[in-house]
Amino acid sequence: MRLGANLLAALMVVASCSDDPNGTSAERDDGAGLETDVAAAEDRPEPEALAADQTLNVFSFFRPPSFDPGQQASGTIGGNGLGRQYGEALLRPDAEVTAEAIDVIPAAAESYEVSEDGLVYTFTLRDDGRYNDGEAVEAEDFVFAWRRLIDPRLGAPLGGTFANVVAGGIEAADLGPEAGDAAVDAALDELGLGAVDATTFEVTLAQPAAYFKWIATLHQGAPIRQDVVEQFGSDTWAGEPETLITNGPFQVTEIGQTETTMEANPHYWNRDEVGLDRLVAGYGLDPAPRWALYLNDELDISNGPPPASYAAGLNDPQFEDEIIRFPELSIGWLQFNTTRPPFDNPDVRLAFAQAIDREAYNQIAADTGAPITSLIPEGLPGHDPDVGDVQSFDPDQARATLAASGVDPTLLQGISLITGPAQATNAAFLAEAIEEQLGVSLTIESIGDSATLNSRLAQGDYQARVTFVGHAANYPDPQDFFDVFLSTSRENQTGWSNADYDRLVTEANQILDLDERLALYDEAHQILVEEAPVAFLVQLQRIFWVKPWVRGIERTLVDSAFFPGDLHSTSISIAEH
Amino acid sequence: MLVAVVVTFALMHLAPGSPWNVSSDALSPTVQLSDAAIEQLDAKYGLDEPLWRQLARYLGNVVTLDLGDSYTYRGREVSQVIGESLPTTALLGLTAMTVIVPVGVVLGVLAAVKHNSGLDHLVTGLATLGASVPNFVVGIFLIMTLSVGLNQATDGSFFLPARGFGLDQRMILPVVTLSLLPVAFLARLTRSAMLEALRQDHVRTARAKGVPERMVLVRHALKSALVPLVTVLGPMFTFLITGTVVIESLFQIPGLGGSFVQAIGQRDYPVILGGTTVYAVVVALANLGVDCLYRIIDPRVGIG
Repeated sequence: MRLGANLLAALMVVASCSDDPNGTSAERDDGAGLETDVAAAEDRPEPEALAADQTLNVFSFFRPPSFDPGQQASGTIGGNGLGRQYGEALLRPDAEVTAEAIDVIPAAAESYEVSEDGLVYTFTLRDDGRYNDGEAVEAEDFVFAWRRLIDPRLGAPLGGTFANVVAGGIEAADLGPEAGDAAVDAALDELGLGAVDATTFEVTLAQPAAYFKWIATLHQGAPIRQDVVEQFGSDTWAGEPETLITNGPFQVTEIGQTETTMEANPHYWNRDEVGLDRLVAGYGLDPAPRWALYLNDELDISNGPPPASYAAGLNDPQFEDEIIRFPELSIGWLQFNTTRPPFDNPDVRLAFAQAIDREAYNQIAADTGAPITSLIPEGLPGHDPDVGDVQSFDPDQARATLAASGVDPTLLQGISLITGPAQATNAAFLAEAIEEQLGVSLTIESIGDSATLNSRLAQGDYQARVTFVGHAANYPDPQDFFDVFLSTSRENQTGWSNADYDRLVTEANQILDLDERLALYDEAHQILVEEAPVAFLVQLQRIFWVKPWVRGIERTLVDSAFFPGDLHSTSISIAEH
Repeated sequence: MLVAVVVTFALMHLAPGSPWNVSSDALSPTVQLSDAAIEQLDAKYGLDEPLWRQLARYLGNVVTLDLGDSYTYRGREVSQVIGESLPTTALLGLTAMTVIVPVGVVLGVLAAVKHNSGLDHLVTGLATLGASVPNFVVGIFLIMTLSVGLNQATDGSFFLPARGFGLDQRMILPVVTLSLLPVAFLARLTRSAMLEALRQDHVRTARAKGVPERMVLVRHALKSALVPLVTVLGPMFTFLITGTVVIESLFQIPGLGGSFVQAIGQRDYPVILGGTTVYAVVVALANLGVDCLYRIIDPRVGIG
């Protein structure tokens, strides 16, 4: 029986072989919006007995390009999330997950203080903070690590996030090779970073930024020792476990070709609370074998079956107690190039936005997401479904908007919609919907090579583009989303700029009181939705399959895409099974 | 080889996109570095120089066996990336070869000898199946049956691992998956070559002289059928060394194919060029090997 079922599953898998963790080609399993069901895995009773082998096997999609925490991209993305296990930042996002209560808790810093004007953050490091070689974590290691993040010569993926807030950051980060090394070093010396004493790290901001506490939770800002980097090389110190000296709950003990192995850091300040002895993260993008590993108990956490059998797996009673799901802080959208006809006309963009039935789109798109017509996802302060009313699906309104736009009908012919192959089905749905509602036919251009796609987007060489993840949160603050559409943002590839929006967001970013900030963000939000540089479509959901013996998953809003509870991995343990 | 490197170099730089603004996988947002950071990295890796100078510098370095540093894997040398993955791919390919050649040839010979028998039809049928079902389909099928299926049927006491690589049972599924198409191909080729050989005069003469049938098959017929077979072994070997990307991805084997394809996606120029150079060497060596084999099996082929 089982064998037969597996044969069938194998054939279904074969039917579709693209890597798509969201299961786009799967059928929709329910009609509700985003549902959160973490009870299954979070409320499991404390185990009577722990397994002898405290090893957790996870799968991180790809090997991190660098093991240097400062050189890693967003920790929610694949292998970059591994850095969170061995690099401990100053603060940590709290496991409390309601939008009202989200805050930070101490990590490498025991406490922090903010000056009255919101410009100076003083972090008091814990006395017992230790690297895995037993040496103490000191404030100057943070100064060194953050300098490296902002140093333009190192090109740290998240360098801009730090450079934008630290005083002198933008000036230093903007120095090209023609400025010379001496000028870059001088600019880095001017940064608002200081080690007042061994356990006091002081950061002066360029302008007040209430969201800075979240930046202080990023593992990219974990401390790095100057002596280690100087002895083993700026690019190479993190390449071997022996020289990868870090301060997190785990230490990397093996960098294999198919997996990274980490073990509990014996000198970690909170070592007694760390439940796991080992953490193994495999790599590989193909969903079919990954699922086989989960079924074979070789993996403890999985992103689920491959696309063709995804819906079946989601509804299989066998997995009822293993599935946990919660909203992801990311938004998918249809984006327009606002510098080219016909999308230089805001009404045309809005008409397109109004012509899309998000409920129906969600059924084919991400079967488990939730329709959305505004920028801020559920789970964040500032989330307000009503803001997006003007973009809501309304065929009559869409036709009226298009008619009122006064666009030259010849410009509506032969519009091209570009997308990656994984999203081709979604593109086809959109093309069909817009043809049906507006009588405008789109041609779809599916671009397999992501570097080509990225380069065309960056150069504005496109008309419209659809994507599952237009933006994913680096940290849970609305500023992280609103900044995307600033005219100066590199993430804003729509060419859209609006002076009022820029002014409102920039002003709000500097306000310390959340309610006051949100009032300004709301105004900016309204402008964004009406001007529609993008048509907001769907907020995705994170869905994981977790083996019943995995205990103590405490998730945050920004867990990595392969490991729920990864920011609180110290509380995880393996029950006897 | 020089031509291969120069052509790759040209194609690589013609392709749009930069090594610095890439996404880690198809579904992740792209890393967006500042212009200054991009210029700094370009300067560090010499990408700000004119292309001809970059090429000249590269060729100069290759002569001294210096393949440069990977862009994607900061701090790793290309020789390290290739040095780690090439042995895996080569071992997989060689193991597959040791399966493919005997199995393919024996099946082909049997089919030819028992021409138009049930066995012949079976072999031809299998060959057609093997040639028409893509290897990722076969691979997933095998994983779901012999790994997951067996695991559940035996309650975890016996199953074949679906992941990783080493000289043990982990080798079975990838090698079987990889071998199927070449076995089918080789069996069909052997069959037709044998049928051809069996009709030749010297075989008829041998039979007429009363040479035992087994000797006729092996010493006379098979020997002359070997020439076309050896001809395909070179390309087949190259295919096995280079064409394993799908298998590597499916079984999570850390081979050269995966690194190479990823490098293309990430615009990791030094790894792309290094991979091309290595492939060029492999192809050249495989062809040289085949030429030597010709000399052994067919004395008419001379040197020079």
